[in-house]
Amino acid sequence: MRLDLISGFFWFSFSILAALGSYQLNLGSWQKPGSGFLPFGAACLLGIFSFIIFLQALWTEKRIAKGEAWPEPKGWPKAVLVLCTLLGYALCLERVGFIIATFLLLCLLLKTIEPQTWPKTIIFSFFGSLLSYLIFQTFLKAQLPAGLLAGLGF
Amino acid sequence: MESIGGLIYGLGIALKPINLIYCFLGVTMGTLVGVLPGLGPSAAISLLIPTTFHVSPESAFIMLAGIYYGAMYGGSTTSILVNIPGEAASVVTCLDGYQMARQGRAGPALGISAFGSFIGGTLSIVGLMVAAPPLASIALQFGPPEYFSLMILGLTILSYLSGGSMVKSFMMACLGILLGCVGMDTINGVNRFTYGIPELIDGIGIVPVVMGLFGISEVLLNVEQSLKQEVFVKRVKNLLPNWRDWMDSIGAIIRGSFLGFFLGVLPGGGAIVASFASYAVEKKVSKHPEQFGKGAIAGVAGPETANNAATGGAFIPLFTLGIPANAVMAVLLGALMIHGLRTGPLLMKEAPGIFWGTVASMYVGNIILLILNLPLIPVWVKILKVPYVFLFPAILIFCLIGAYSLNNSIVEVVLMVLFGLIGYLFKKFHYEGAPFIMALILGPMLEDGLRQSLILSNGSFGIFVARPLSLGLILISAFLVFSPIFLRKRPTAGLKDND
Repeated sequence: MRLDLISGFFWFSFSILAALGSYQLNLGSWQKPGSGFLPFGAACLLGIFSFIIFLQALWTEKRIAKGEAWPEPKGWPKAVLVLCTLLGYALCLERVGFIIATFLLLCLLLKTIEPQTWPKTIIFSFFGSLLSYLIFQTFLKAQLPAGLLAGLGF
Repeated sequence: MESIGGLIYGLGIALKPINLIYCFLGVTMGTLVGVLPGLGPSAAISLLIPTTFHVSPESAFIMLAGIYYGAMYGGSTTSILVNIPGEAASVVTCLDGYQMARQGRAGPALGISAFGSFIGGTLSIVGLMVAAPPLASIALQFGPPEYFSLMILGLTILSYLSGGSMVKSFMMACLGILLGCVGMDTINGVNRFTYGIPELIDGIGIVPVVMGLFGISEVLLNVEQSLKQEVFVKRVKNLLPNWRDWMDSIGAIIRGSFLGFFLGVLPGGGAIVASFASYAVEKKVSKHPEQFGKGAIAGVAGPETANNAATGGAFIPLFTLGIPANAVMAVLLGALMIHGLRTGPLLMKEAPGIFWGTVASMYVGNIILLILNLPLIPVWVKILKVPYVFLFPAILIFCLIGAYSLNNSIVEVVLMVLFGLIGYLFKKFHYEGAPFIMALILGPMLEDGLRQSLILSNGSFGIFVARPLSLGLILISAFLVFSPIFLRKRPTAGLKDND
């Protein structure tokens, strides 16, 4: 139950911050509830429930000497890598444009998660980015950023 | 008689060539979305909403609804052939469907899930057609206290039916309500927790949250496990179930239809809960419960029927009360609003074409799906044979474009990625995403109901128990909260863990 100890503590701390933030928004009165009324109530309940989870985990931890182990860190780096890549994509999408950003994203994912050969990676990334642009921009009329290719009519 | 007249009117709309095309497109895309693991109907509908801006509201809603029930058909294919649920509501189908495929009975498993889906889907449309108009009349009597109590009941039901810890589910509901408060307070005009980000003034969008929590996090988990797809393709033959298969499944199909429909109606119920509940019921009533998990056809027929039956039921609170029963309905509610339609009990009077057109198109769509589904299985199998290493980047691109297209804003993309991380951690720490999403959706309505009720009653909470309907809803919620103390075990407690 070590996981519950950590999550219980985290949510309890979060609920205190949320309650303080809600309090500053003005709670109002019972007759005329203010903007902070509901978030304050929800934060208090979250605090109570997370405290229960924390206590339950603490109790179980004491009874069973060997707590639930932290999950195997085997695949974590891959998940973190995908997340960082997505965040990077979001940050550079408007600057470099959809086609280039998508091409780079696909290249990175295909080369790192389960590494493919360079020709396979380049071909899939090139056609993948172009095809998705064609489907969404041309056929479905989405407004995707042109970025660096703006001058080429994209 | 009103229903028959309405249906005839609806068929006039649904059978227009343009609407038939939209219905066909919707159910086909829905099936594809169902087949592909990691891309759910909410994400697909969100992605396609901008494409409906230039068409009539009827055509738009016919297509978007088609994606929803089409996805329920498609989800079983992946569960049976690859042992990976294509859609969250088909998780439980993996248990017996994949075992049947391993025993060389993939054909009957796919066949019975298609027929069960058709029967459940069709019966639930009959239910929707019959129940919605009178319910809309009753809903006109709903005031803020009734709305508040109904939403509390919805959140309680979802927490009660969730597979894990009830306390954790309540925590997720509180977190959802809290995040639902982000944005401008509609009563006082005060910005709450926006931290100077203009995109947050309208609140946290449901679409990036759903895509992140269910789409991105699923991809992260699959990537972590180095997913190996083993498609049982050579043995897909004899799609029509034999007499024995029908005899073993018919009871499950009938029970699944009713259970799915009623769980679909409840806010917080929906297709996922319906499929798990149906599996639990079938295992309980079976003369051979030991066969469940080893290839029992009733374990495929029941859940697949139930998840389709839930789709029809889920439209009832949306059309009659303007309350979404699940995340997909919340996205559809957004689509209705974008098309300038006022949701709630007056929708059926003000825009009868939307209601009856959708109902009639669902009959048509279910027939299209039954005809399409079985012959198209080789096509879906080919798609499933594409290695996951090529499939997941495509799913990610769909989600990224979908989030960006909402407001052409990077903030939505960052939010989606952030909620992808949160969803991933939820799964690692055994927290359920469903109560969180529902609370996020219902939060603003719940707040309006609470604050308006307190203003009306001059600060007295007695208003929630003074009105009979509100009292009834509160009593049911209280019973569900306290029943675990009296009952030894909740019906669904630990279901997901055990299975």
